[in-house]
Amino acid sequence: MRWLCLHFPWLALELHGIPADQPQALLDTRQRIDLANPCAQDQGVKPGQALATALALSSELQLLETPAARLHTALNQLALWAGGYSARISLCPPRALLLEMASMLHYFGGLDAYLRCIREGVASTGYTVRLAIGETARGTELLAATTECLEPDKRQWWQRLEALPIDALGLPTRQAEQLQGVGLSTLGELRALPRHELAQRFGQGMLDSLDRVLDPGAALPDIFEPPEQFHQRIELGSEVSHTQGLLFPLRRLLAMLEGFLRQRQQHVTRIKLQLYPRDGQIQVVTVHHDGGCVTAAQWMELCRLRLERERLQAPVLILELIAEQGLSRSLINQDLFAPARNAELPEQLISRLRSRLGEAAVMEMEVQLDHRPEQVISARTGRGAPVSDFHAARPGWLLSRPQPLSAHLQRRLDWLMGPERICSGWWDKPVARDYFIARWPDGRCGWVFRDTRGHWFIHGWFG
Amino acid sequence: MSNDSCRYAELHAISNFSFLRGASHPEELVAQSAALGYEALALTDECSLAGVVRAHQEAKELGLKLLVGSEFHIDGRVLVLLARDRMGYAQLCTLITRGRRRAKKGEYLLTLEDFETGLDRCLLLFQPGPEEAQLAADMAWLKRYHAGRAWLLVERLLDADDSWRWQRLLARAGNGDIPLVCASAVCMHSPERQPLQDLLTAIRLRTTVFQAGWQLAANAERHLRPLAALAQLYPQALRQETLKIAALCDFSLDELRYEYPAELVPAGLSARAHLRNLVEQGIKRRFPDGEPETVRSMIEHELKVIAELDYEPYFLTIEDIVRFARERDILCQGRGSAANSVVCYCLGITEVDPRQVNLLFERFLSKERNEPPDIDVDFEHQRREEVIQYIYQRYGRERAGLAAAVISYRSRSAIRDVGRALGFDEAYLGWLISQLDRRDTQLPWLEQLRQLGGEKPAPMFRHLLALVPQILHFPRHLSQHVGGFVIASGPLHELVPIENAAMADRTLIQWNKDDLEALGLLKIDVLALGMLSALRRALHLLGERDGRNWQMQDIPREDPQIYAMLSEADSMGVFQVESRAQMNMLPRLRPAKYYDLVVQVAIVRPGPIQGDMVHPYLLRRQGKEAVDYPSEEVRAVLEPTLGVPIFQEQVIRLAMAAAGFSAGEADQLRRAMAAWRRSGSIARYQQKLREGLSGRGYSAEFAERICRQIEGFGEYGFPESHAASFALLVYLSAWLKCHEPAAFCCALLNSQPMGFYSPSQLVQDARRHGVEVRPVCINASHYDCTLEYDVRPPASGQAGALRLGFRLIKGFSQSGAEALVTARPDPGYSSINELRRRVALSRGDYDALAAANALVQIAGHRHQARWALLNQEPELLLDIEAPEVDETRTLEAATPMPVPDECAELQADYRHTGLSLGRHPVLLLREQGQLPRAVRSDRLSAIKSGRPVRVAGLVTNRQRPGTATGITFVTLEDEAGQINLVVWQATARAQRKALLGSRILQVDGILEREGELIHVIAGRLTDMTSLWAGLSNRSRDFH
Repeated sequence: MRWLCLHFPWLALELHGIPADQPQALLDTRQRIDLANPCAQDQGVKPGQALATALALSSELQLLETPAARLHTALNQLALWAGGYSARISLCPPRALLLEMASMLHYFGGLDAYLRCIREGVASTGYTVRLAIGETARGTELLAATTECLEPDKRQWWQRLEALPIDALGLPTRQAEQLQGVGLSTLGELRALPRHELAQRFGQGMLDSLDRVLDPGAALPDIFEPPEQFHQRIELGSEVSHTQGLLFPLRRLLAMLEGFLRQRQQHVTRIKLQLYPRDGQIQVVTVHHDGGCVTAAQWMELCRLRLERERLQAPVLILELIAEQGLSRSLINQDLFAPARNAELPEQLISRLRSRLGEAAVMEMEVQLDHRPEQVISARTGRGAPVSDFHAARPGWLLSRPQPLSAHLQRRLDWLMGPERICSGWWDKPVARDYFIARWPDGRCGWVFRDTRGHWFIHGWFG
Repeated sequence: MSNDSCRYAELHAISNFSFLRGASHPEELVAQSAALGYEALALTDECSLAGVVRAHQEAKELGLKLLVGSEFHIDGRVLVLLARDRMGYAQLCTLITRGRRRAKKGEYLLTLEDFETGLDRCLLLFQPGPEEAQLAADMAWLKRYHAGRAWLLVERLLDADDSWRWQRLLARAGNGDIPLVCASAVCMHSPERQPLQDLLTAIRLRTTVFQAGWQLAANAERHLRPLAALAQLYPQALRQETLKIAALCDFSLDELRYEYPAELVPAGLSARAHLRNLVEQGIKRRFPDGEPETVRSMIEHELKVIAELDYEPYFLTIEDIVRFARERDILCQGRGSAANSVVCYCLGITEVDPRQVNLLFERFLSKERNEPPDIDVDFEHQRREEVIQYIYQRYGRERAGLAAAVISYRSRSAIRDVGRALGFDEAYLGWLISQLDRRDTQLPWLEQLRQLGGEKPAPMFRHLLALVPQILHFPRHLSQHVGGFVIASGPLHELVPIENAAMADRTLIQWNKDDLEALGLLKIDVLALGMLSALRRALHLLGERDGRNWQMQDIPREDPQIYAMLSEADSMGVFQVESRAQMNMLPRLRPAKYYDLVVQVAIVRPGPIQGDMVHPYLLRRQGKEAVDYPSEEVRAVLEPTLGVPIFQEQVIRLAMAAAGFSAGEADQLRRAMAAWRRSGSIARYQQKLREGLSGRGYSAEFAERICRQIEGFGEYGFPESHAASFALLVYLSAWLKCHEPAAFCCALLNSQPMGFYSPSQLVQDARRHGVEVRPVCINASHYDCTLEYDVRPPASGQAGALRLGFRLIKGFSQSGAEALVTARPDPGYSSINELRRRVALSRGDYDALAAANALVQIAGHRHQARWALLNQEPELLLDIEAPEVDETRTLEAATPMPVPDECAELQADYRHTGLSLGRHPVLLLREQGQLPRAVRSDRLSAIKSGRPVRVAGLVTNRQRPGTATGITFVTLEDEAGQINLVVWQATARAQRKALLGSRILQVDGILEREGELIHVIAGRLTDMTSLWAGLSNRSRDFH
């Protein structure tokens, strides 16, 4: 057997970090159930069901969004980790990895030992996995998507593959329906047909997708290319306030690092841990290994020692691992003679800041077209609307907080304009005021309002 | 009026009929204006008069002067037109119509040019746009086209632009001869509606209140402001001007006079004489042996009442439409109080024989009741469009229009729209809605919604709770009424504005049927009824067989066999009484004559059920309770229904006879009932009923039941006059089912979609009644299902075999079917190649034919046929001129496909035709030993009531009727028939998955019997659906 497929059936749900004993499901764009976890399935929730039906069956059902970006990241991280187990890895998005394993079995001491290592490794990620081994890449992938298959006997393996339903091919609905309509249900039955008759009716595309599954000589899937730099993070489900609590997620990061280093054939001498609190300073912890080292276990030991000395400044939400100094001859040379970087564009700076500090940490000034003066200018992460021309008189200097206006002063003001009644914001911060423009005895013009209780305030100054 | 200097009339106010702009009902605006002491109010909805009738009614009640007007937004300007008199009103309607007809539904398109002519009887209030250059030109325009009847409109709203606008207009007024007038651009009656107003803005702009920003109003000034506040804002001269304008307008909707179309009366005849002639002709037709004395005197009485009320043209109009339908062989039937008259019987408007239902005719028409005649005419549902087109063609689009139906916010749409505008996400709102049980009478859904927010709801949720009830019943848009036509003698658009409907070539007027009724305008309901299509088809089939014309009146009446059949609840396919609730009632009520059917049709409705009238009626009918009447007046009202009020009319007449209502009050009660859901104004009548009844010696309990019954009628009114017409259709369809089951089933299949049951259920029922059903076949079927007679010509009364038609094949086009039949050679198609040579169908059509097993005669089993047809090899299609080539050549060369087993055949039958003539799936499972101890439906009658029993079947129906709280009714189907399950709420809750998810269900429960009714009270539910999949997989392995 040449291939191993790791299929993570509930990955998109598990990424949300909700305990598996709670019913959960993803919705597709037509508001139908796309994926339901085993707990939800026990209650009768099924893919394709209408939302209302699903909720009628399971009132506690949690409806989650497909975390497309996180799914992508997670699969890539798994591919990094898998570098410790295979030299040839392919992504089968959205939820599977394909590993060439034939050449690794000797090194790991046979299939059983190999699979045991894999399972242990996956267990540390917390994701559910279904394994299948096989003769063809695509065939193994299809098997893993349907059922666990660790059949070492080639003849039996082929039988199991041929027993797969035609649906597994992922053909266009219409073709699948037509094949069913002529009484065909398995890949084997499809294979038994004369190829030219099949092509006449369904075109060459059908033969190609069948060959990819059945022909060991078919073109191989693309190889996963690890990134240049190792820079990965894990979002912790909740805030961690002791270093002890960081060890488990760190183990996952280090397993990825090991896979990454193996794929790139590199060593590393220094890694940097960046600990992100909810807000405030990032805490950086650096760990060295003079000779450079690859294995997760070694790094883990060092990190554990290092972290014991460290006190967390604040509870941590995100753990990030950066491999700082790689030791690979070719790479070192490149680094040494790389040309100086060009000056950065502001957008690049912002996106770099955002990627470092998080979306929420970088703000833009925004003009919000709100009637309430306090709401007009705000710091937002989103984009504001353009300011349109209007006739209202607004002061250039708005006090951050309205100041009470004494009755004495109020009597001495010269009223120029008003009232402008602003009564809005009932949904969060209600405001009900009559605004006036008034001239102070010393000639300044101020923006003054009276609230519903009849109290007077100064809210801004005109230039 | 204490302070003369404060007097004011509001001339610019929009209601919620300016959809998603106004935040108050028209009635609220009127009531608030009256309360504040305004001299008058102008309702000026944007390019619409849709809310004006409601305002008119309220204003009449409160004695407020109402001006009729409309506002228009044109390139930043606001133009408000007010009608001075009837002619100005017609001009306004015409302008609105023009603007609406040019644009798509819900919008309007007008330019200033449209205001230049034809508006001399209207006043114009003009608010310029912000551009200075435009203003100068506009002033010149006003002087040129509207000198002497235009004002500059100034409205101080205290927003940011207020001072600027105010100064600008004051400056203009100084040097122009266009006077100034003030108003408040009102869009809500009270400032408390501001949150709702903001919300409507957000909904309209498809955003949230947070994001709407400056698009929201800056404050709540656009309400009806107190006179004192207005006095501070506007100088007295401006306010005086409002009074002057109000005085110039002297028009009330009461002036509208409806005039009937005149062309139906031949020259030289009066309408009266013409109607008399038509009736006399009808008498000869209906009573060929001479009419009985009672009939003659009835006719004279009816004609006299019609004459006194001048309703002849109304009856002539309906007669004309019905005559058209008859000429086109479109079946129709009138219903309603005026329809059940001898005059209508003679005019052919109804087939209800007056001799059968004498009692009903007391209700015909009466002057005292002051209600317009009520005749709805049902037509075959697939041919109603022809009737509608006839009306348009006969009277012209200028003069005929469909009444509007006002689509308003209901619980679901309210939660969704309010929730979106408050920023809730869709999935959450979907969840909220799914959690509400709108039929739970103990806990109203608004209260349920409140509970979903928890003990301490989030602030946004509190806003949701506050705003959802406010937006409820707000109109959202106008849609077309199901068939209410208004036909006028002159151009309709001078009576009411007309706008485009969503459907192409459809127009509708801006008033709904309540508005029309309030103004005394007449409408004619042209409705669609599937059963009439089926009846016509069945009569046609009988006519073909017997070589003569079968009509409704040819069906013998009062056949005891029919009543015996119905009493056994053998009513699948029969009009109205085929639903499960009706089937349960039939053996209890045991109808034995026509009038019993009238009761049967009306009794399983919210009114009698909520009033607890059903049980007492049945007891009395079965002789278990004495029939008595508290007084002679009550006897007169309730005698036909054994002293128990069943019909809406009876309750109204009871109010007069037993609770001291005057005729006028009774009429108000009737209106309040119809509008109960909208206004909830029925409470005061209920109180009066209670007092009246108890003052006359009736028990409080009886009064209470009557009050609940009234609420039920409000929910779904079903008067005796309609039941009488429906009962006839019940009888006729039951007769066909009893004596001509093949023709009946065939007609039902060809009239789908209609009725309560699927083609599969109808066909099984027909087979159980001995009808031979033959499968769809390439060489025997037509598009429609047909009857085949093995002996030709068929003898009269011979039963034919039902041949299923191509129409049952899913995805097979009608045009394809027709082409196939036209090209079919006499001996039939002999091979697929011949089929392809003779008729070019789409690839999808060929495949659908094969999938439905229609080619079995010429191409082998369906798998093989589909395989052969999937091949689109072009050379096979070329040999058109060479029929001698071996047609079977390619077929033999093709690879053999797996032969479908029985189970696969069944599945494919269901999938592609929705039914199967093979053995029932439940029977297959039973044979396999998969359903041990499950009792067949036809053997349940041998089991004693109260015994445990197991049944199994396909789930064909699940429902939770609103009248039976918490119970789910499930219907199972096995090879022998239907099984009725009752699932109590606790059972349903505990076994939700099996209840909602099963297609094949096994049930262990308790058998319960009442007379001939058998139910199984569900205990344990087991989902057996997977057995079916298992069965088909295993059996496939055998091949």
